[in-house]
Amino acid sequence: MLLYILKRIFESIPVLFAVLIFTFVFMKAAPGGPFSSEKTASPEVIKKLNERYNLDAPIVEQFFDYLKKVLQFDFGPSFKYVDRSVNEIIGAGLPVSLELGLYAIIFAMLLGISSGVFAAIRKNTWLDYLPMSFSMLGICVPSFLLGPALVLVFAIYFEIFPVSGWDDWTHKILPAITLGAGYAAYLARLSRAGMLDILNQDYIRTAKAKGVSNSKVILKHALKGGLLPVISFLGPAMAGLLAGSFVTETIFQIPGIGRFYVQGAFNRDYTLIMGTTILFSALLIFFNLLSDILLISLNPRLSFKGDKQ
Amino acid sequence: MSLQENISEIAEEEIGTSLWKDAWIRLQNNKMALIGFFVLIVMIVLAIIAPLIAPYSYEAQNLPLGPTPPSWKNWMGTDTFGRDLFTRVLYGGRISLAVGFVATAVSLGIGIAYGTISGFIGGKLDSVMMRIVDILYSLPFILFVIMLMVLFGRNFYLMFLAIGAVEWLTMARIVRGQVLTLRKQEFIEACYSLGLSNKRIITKHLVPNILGPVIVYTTLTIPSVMLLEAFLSFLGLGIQPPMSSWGLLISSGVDTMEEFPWLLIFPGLALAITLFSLNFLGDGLRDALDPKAAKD
Repeated sequence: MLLYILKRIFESIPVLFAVLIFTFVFMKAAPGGPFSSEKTASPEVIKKLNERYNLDAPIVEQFFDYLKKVLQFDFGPSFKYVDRSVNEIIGAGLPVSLELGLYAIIFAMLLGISSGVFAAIRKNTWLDYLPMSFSMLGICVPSFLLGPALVLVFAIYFEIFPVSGWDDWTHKILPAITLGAGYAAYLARLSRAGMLDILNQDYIRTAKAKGVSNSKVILKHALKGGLLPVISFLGPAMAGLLAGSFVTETIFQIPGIGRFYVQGAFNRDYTLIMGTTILFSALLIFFNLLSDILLISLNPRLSFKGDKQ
Repeated sequence: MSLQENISEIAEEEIGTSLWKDAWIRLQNNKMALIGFFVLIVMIVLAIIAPLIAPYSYEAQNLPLGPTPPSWKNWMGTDTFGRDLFTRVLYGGRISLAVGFVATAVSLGIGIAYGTISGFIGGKLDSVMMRIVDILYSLPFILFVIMLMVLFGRNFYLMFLAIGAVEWLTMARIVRGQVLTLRKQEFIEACYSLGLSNKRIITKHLVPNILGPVIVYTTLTIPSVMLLEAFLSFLGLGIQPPMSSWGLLISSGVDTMEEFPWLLIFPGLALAITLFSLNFLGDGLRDALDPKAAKD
């Protein structure tokens, strides 16, 4: 097990390196620079700026300079937010985004898994049809439609929650639902399919034949196997949460890392874009590894050698 | 050679018709899928003939008129520039659907080619190619799409390419899995013993047989591609005004939703209904063509 984890961590190093090279080349190949929008700046000022950010050195030298810094977890100064380093921006934004993501995932798991499990147990009754229709709705209504709709109803007409911002708990409910709804829908469908699969297995019938009560069969025997697809979905779901956080943070004006990224992209803030891209890639690899480890430890039929069959 | 061709063609035809007929009958029993299919056809036809039926110009502004609620003259009302919303939703559908279909076609092309080669040749090449797919899976692709759109201008065609390049991974996996199982079956062995070339086996015998799952997955890719386009346009990185796409209309509708909610409601409905029908059709096709596949 430890060997497997080490192997996976080792494997991710070249991947992150490739991401770094890719983003770096991208930035250099792109037309226009971070200072090209400041039309009033005199040539001397631009020269000074280029010197400050080491932009007139040969590209190879720039790359190795940057690589050295990244290895020390220093993503350099931001191009647009003068006086702030990328590290500071990430340090301010990431906790907010993680908090939002956590609430969204908790909401999605509570709603999604419970409705999926109930739908599987009461198959072909209204307890099945109703949540499943809602889950179709959750998949088809994108977050940038759901978010404004929620604001319109709960913040503007009923005035229960604030329209935007990020302060106390009232600010966090609508964004968490907006971000989590799509996942709740997927999780409901996944856990329903997984549970149906397990409930038809022989060992469940055996347990029932032995007179084990219905609730005990489900809680002790079926849930563990039935929720395996859910766990394998959670790793990749982090990627989607990330993308979703761009939209949700934009709608609700939450000072998270997703909003900084979108603004950084608009402003051609090279260092900020590269820093966040590398950070996101690392996070994603980490969560994928976490869900794989969880999957293996829950399912003895999977081997440790890394092949998932 | 002519006899061999005859034999293979007869065999193909028999398998083909029965499979498709079967699937069609099963699809007809699925009401939601049929409704989805019908709605989708209507949407596509409306998008194609938009220039003919649109009552107004999509970009001509009428500032004195300003935003008006839905009426007999403007079925969906007008936006803040006095433009007819119905016209803009029609034209937006053109772009949203075009992005959906073209980008899906791009991902289809890459995915089928990649998956077939990987599965058919097998061995070391296969494991290297699939390792690459695994690695690409673990990257935050949305960031690369955003980067691409920002750095190289908000180019319409670039968006097709960028989205298509992101969505091919799953397709490659599905195709490879299918090819792997098919490769070991008797009819492929028969092809070999008849002395057919690799190219002919792939194009004439492998690819037609993997069409079922590919069609199913394609129907499910189109909505996710359309969502991605809407997502980019919402962030201001996709289609640029005065052109319109559903994502863009929703984005500008959100800005004014307090005063003029219809500007958000109608484009939102158009997008949601289309996504609904595509998803229902995809689910129905999966049940019809691929009864063994897991229903997640």
